[in-house]
Amino acid sequence: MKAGISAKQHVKSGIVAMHHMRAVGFLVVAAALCVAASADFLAMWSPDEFHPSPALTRIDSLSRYCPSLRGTRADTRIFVYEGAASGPTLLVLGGTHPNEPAGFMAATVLLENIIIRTGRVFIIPQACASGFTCTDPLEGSPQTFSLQTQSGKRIFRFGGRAANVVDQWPDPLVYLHYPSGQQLSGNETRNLNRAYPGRQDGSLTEQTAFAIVSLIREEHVDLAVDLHEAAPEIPIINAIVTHEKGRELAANAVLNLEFENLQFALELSPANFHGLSHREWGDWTPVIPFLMETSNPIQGRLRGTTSEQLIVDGVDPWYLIAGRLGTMRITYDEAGESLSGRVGRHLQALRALVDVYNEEHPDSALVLEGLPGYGELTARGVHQYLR
Amino acid sequence: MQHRTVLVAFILLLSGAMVQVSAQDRPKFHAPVLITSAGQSADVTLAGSLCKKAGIEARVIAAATAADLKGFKTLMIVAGFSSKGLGAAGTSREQELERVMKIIAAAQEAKLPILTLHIGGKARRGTQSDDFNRIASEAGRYILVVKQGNDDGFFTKIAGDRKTPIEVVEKIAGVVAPLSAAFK
Amino acid sequence: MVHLVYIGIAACCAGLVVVEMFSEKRWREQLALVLILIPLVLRILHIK
Repeated sequence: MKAGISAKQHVKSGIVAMHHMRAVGFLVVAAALCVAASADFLAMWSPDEFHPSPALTRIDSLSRYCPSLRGTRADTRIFVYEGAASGPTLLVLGGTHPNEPAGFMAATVLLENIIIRTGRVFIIPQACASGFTCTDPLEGSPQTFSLQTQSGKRIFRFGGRAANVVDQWPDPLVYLHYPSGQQLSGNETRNLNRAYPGRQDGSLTEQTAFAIVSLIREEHVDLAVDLHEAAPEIPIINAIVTHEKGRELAANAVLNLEFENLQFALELSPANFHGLSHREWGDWTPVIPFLMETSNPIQGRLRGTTSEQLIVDGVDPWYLIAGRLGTMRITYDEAGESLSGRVGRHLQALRALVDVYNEEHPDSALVLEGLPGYGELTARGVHQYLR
Repeated sequence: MQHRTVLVAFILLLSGAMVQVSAQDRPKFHAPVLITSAGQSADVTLAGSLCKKAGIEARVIAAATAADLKGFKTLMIVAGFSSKGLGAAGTSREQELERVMKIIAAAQEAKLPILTLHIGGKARRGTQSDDFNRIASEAGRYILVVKQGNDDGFFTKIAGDRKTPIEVVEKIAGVVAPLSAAFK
Repeated sequence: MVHLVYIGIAACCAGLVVVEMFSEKRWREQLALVLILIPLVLRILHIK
């Protein structure tokens, strides 16, 4: 009662009106900040441009293999290339983790340069399309990076590790993988590479995983490669991870790559760690799956300035110190780990895997041309291979 | 005979091998070979491919036990730790250490010569790997190492202390020549 | 469905923050409420 009287007195004295007016003013400021911030965030919703090579047969959507994805930000383009003669089918995935740009760029270089004689190639450059619409919180990551290409400056998005929370929210406290029941931390619910084999009526990420597994089954994919990157201090970098089905093939590819002066570690997919492409694709479909990792300083904890330049040049002074101190498992010197080199490693390894597969299947070979290798990409730069 | 030595030297030179032992010092091994891992890295698969290229009859059992030794004349241990590999084998680091020590003891008891291979370079060094590297190297009658994994002299020191013949090769592919020579 | 429930909760929270802004007299507290309001609005609108 006393407060009510007091409030009336305040109204009379004009004090309430003043803080009300201030509240309105703050709301206007908040609205202005929302508009400014929205413009920045929404800029990441514009899809990246691709300029496919003339060998392109058609562009499909992932929703073809899981119709509930249609109209969502998880639906993504599939670039399909078919040779004149039949042969094996290869699936290449980039952008499973949109903060690992060499995977996405290797798939882009592939789709913009590929010439195919026999067989079929399906390329999904942005497998986790939703993840390309935001960056990871608290990482200070740039939203884009640019390359000066033949057709002028091209801008590519640098996304977050997992799907955007606005597309799949809230995260549970504990993520229960389907169907194994494996428990992981809640934010892994949005991680495509923890969601395989996925399910049609699951979360958006599970639906994406389901669509990719359905594509592998329906299109009878023989070889599938998932392109990734990891922090330079992570033990599994410059590596090919394989399901037991691809063990021999990968071993021979690693040996061939060594002849070409590229060292790759060979890693076996753990049988008891579920949701990963190299495990579940191999277990649930007839495909021989591989996952490849390069070393990316912008993902590392030791990094300094988190900039567009670090994505492209891969030169970081703090990793140089770590390298000099001998704490790195890779050679990290002034040359850094450039995007061109990382894309080159992916494409050279992809070529090596296809070559070994062809040696093992001489009657049904996948004949690809136009793919630049590590030497060409490091000598000329990745920008020279973008249309 | 002279021609053969020149030929071997030429092959080794071509393969980039840095020879620390002469052909006479290199112990002789006999096939068939059981290839097993110490640390469950997939390098064990690469070793299988290398034996194939060298024309050596071998079988890869990454997590071999003493019972698997029967019928083999050489045990090849491929050293190097991999957490993914441990996951693939469904074992723990401690269980793996125990398994490696047991198979080494069984091989020694059966007087089976042990050939130690380290081909994973820097990726198979560090605290997690070096326990396996040390156990495997100390048990080896002959050690073959790819140079990048021996930049700090880890393997040459063990070999020197125990007077074990060691060969350090530049590349994984360089393993083929000394390997085939050891089985001739 | 859970998604919609959470958006509903976020909308309720945003409404409460606005009400609180009008009853709050100290400008510093009002400014703090603005900082709470912005991410709520962006989440409700599915922007961030």
